[in-house]
Amino acid sequence: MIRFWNPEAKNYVDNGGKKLTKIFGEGCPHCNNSTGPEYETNMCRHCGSVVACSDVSFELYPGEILGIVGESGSGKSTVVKLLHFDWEATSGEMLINSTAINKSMDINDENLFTLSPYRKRQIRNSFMGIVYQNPYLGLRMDMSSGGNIAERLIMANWRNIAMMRDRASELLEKTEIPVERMDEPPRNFSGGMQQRVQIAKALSNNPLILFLDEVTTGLDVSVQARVLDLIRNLQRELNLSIIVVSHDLGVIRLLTKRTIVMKYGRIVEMGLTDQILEDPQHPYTQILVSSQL
Amino acid sequence: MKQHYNFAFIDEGAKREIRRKILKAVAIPGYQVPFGSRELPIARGWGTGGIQITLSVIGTDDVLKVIDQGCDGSVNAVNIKKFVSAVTGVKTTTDTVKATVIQTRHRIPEEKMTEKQILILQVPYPEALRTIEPSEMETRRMHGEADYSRMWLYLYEDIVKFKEISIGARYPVIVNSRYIMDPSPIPRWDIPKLNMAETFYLFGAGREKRIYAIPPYTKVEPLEFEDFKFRIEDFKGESCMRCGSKDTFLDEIIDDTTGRRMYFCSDTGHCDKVLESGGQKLCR
Repeated sequence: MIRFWNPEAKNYVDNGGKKLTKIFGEGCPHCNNSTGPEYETNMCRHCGSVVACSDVSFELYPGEILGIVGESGSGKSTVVKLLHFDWEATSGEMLINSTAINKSMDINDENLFTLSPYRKRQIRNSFMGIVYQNPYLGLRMDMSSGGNIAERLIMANWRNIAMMRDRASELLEKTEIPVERMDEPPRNFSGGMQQRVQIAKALSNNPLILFLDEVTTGLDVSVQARVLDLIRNLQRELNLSIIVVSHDLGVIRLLTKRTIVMKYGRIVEMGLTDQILEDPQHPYTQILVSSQL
Repeated sequence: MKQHYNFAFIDEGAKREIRRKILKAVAIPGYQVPFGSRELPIARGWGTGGIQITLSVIGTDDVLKVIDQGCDGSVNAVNIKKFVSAVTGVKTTTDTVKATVIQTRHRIPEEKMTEKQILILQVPYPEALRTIEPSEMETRRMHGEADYSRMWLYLYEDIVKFKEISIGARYPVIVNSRYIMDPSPIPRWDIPKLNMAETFYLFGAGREKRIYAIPPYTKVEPLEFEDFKFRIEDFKGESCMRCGSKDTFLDEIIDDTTGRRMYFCSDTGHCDKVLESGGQKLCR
């Protein structure tokens, strides 16, 4: 279950519902009991289904940066893709308590996963942004960079070319892309620049929640530092709630206040980032922290 | 004449099915309704969708007009007219006003049509989103969720590249503020005629097995941005060399030997009518 804290409402949205689960495959009653860190697998031995994540539950507060860390295949990206409505959850609840979203979307303590695809898309287009590890997933390489940003604006019903181009230049400037290259397709850009165009695209509709899925993986160290600085500054400026998925503890340490550690689709440890990195409790977290270069 | 075929060639069951699909298309303007496209003595892609609709809705009292790119006398139009006439025995005409059923390819007649007429358009590619999305499953999802941002983005990119929208024919329109529809390859000139029209427009794609409709008095808007409005073709003051009309869609013909550009009305029936009524002949 994902819960969002609304400081204005002063109440905690908690329907006591099911936790977030995603199973790839048929699924069987044994899936949850035969997978996880204690079994060191996320493949059900009874039916062969892959339990990508199970019993995942956490809250995200306004203006907070939450980190999700874990090894490859631990279910980090699955969680983000479920929350961004890219995939459909097998079970679970996603509750939101934000006055802006609740009012404009007419949502009252509803489980967002049960909404129609149309309304999910509306929420995604109006209040969410995502930056993928692979720019080819997040950008249209055959369209101009300005066009990529304009697409998000069009989704939010912008229909004025001049205004869209102004907004695109403003965002590209903010993400340190030369504005004169706005009409070039992102395939002409370097990896770091593509990542920054993705960030500009994700920010174009002033999202309340931003998902960053391994944004710095594959970038060289200097570019990584610039991208991370950019994210940190934008978060401060726009008071975004961000979920950062990474297997790089350096990124987690630099950006986040709270961290979730995942293994085999389960949360093994959750707490303040400092606490997790300085005093890890779970054996897996201890290995993760000690193996850091 | 001895009847070798059922009236209007197609069997009654098939005609009923097509008419049911037309009713569904009327109920959801702009929505593509799949139908069982039948075999005809004409190759698919040569107007079989239009012909099947014509054969399904035509009655013995109807008067038929068939045009191909505005021309009554083109081989395709004449053959379709002959075929429908042979299997139904209906009268044919070249006069838009006299016709009750008009089958057309790539044009809407210049003369204003009435509620008593049906215009049937032959459609090669019924899916307006095909230019941006090759997957049928995805385009259906896009229509279902009214997720048309990529179509708008396509127009945005066009404007960025060419400083204007470069689509000549098949300009996408929004029908009844809901579905994006391919109006068949009619020129932009004909798009405004679709909006709140008195006539019933039917679109048939035989090869792609789709029927869709614009019922009378339905809102049809071309896709346009607030600061880049939809424009029809501009002939820069040119007029038809036969009848002198300046307010019709003109075909441009370039003389091979002299390189001279000549303009003629695309709608030949209308051009003839203007000439007969004493329209000015302006040969230069």
